[in-house]
Amino acid sequence: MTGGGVTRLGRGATRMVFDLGGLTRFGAQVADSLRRRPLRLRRLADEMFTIGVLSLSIVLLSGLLVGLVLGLQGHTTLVRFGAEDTLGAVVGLVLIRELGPVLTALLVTGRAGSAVAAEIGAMVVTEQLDGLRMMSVDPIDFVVKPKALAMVLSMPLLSALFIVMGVFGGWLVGVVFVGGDPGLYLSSLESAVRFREDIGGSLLKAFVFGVLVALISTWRGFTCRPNAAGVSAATTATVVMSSVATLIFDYFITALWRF
Amino acid sequence: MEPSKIESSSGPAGVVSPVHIEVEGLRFNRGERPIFRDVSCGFLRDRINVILGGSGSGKTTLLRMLGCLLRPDSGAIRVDDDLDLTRLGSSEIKAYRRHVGMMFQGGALLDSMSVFDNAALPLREHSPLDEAEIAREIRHVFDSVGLDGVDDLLPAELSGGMKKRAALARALVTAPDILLCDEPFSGLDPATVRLVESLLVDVNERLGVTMVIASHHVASTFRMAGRIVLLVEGEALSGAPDAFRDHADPRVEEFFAGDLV
Ligand SMILES: Nc1ncnc2c1ncn2[C@@H]1O[C@H](COP(=O)(O)OP(=O)(O)OP(=O)(O)O)[C@@H](O)[C@H]1O
Ligand SMILES: [Mg+2]
Repeated sequence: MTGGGVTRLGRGATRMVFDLGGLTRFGAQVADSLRRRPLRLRRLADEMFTIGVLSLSIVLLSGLLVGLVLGLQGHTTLVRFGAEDTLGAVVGLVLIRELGPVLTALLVTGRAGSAVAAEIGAMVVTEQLDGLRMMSVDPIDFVVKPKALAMVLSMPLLSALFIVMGVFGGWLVGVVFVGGDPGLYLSSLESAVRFREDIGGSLLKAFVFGVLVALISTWRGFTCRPNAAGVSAATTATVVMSSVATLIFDYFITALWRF
Repeated sequence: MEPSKIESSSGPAGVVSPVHIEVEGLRFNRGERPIFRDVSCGFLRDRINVILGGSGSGKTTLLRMLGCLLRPDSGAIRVDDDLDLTRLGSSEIKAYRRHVGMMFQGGALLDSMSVFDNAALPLREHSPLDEAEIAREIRHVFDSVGLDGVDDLLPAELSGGMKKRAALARALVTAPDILLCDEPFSGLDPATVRLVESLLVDVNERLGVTMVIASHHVASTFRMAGRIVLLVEGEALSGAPDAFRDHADPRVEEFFAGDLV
């Protein structure tokens, strides 16, 4: 059965190259539409609201829970080295550099990215995009641009909220539950965080992940086969592709940004 | 072919061509499967042209080609004797579509926008009209298709017949020269079929627009069509309704199977 396996691998690889080509071309079209007027700010605001509402509660809750766990794990480990005073720095840096942007991207992918793909896919099935084309309205400009832009702009905001909730969770454990020094938690965090490397890198990651999730989800919806199975395939593919792309890009940004 | 007036391809053109859209030798495959082997037919100017055919015969496919949503593998679609739709670039397609309205089978109204906003969309995008003028225009079109008090509803809140009328209204606001309708009668009860039918006839008479309607509703077709194009086995048979009544072609007989009185 190696023959079959190799064939399948080859076919998979070919499809991936085709996919990347299609995604790149789609990305270029979206970028091009950004330069076109009108900017459709009303639709952008609506989409930001939708994505925000979809993602806010899960991002806040997850941020808090991750912060609590980080606080516990950090505390038990740091106590062994007598370094529990640095808990704030550890929790904060881990959240700012890694977990904030990455987990937010994964959560937003699952919640809003899949919804965007499904919504655009449903518009393909019900011929709404063709309807726009027949009115000489470019669906990329009218439908994709506001959704993609909203996703890109929301991601850094949601990531920042995740981090704030996480730091608060760590504080709850480190200060309230185990009775550490409240001043030390915050001051160790403050002195450890550097603006360019940490905050800048964190925002850069969130922004790049936002672009990835925005492009993948809108593209998958846009190229969805015009039936129910197509919509479900587009939704699944969005989650898988966005998650993998997020993790791959996370590695490279980390390596290149020199944390 | 001799005894009947049904043409397998277009006949000789007169001095002033009554044919608005001329389709010549369309060939189209979906993967390995041929959908059109050789489709040639003409659609009459300012008349109601109905495309008939069984399910899967390619009615929607042909209509989408007339709207430039799909390109045939070969063949030509000439509008006004010169513009070949199969060769247009994307900006020419945009310009052509300004003169075309399309009513999709499911309505294709944007479900995130109200019925009013849906109908107003083409005007807001392309016309210099201000909001008050647009509102007046929409009122006028809604009146003519008999839509009342649905402005603020979402498309999902409309009944099937109302959706068809809203879709018709949206296709008409830009006063197109060509109106393409995909299955305007599907999923409607007999009374609503009559209603939509009389709407289409009325619009055709008042505005003098060339209509191409894909349908499998035989009775209404014989009441309103000026020309019928029957798609069978990847080819087109076209002619006046009367030509189909005293048909000689066994393929015609098979399709109507006693539906003709
Ligand atoms: N997106 C598609 N991919 C593959 N095949 C398709 C696609 N759309 C249509 N077909 C095939 O093309 C053929 C013609 O389809 P079309 O929708 O034009 O038929 P139709 O005459 O409109 O049928 P109906 O009366 O059911 O609407 C069918 O056999 C259909 O299976
Ligand atoms: Mg059809």
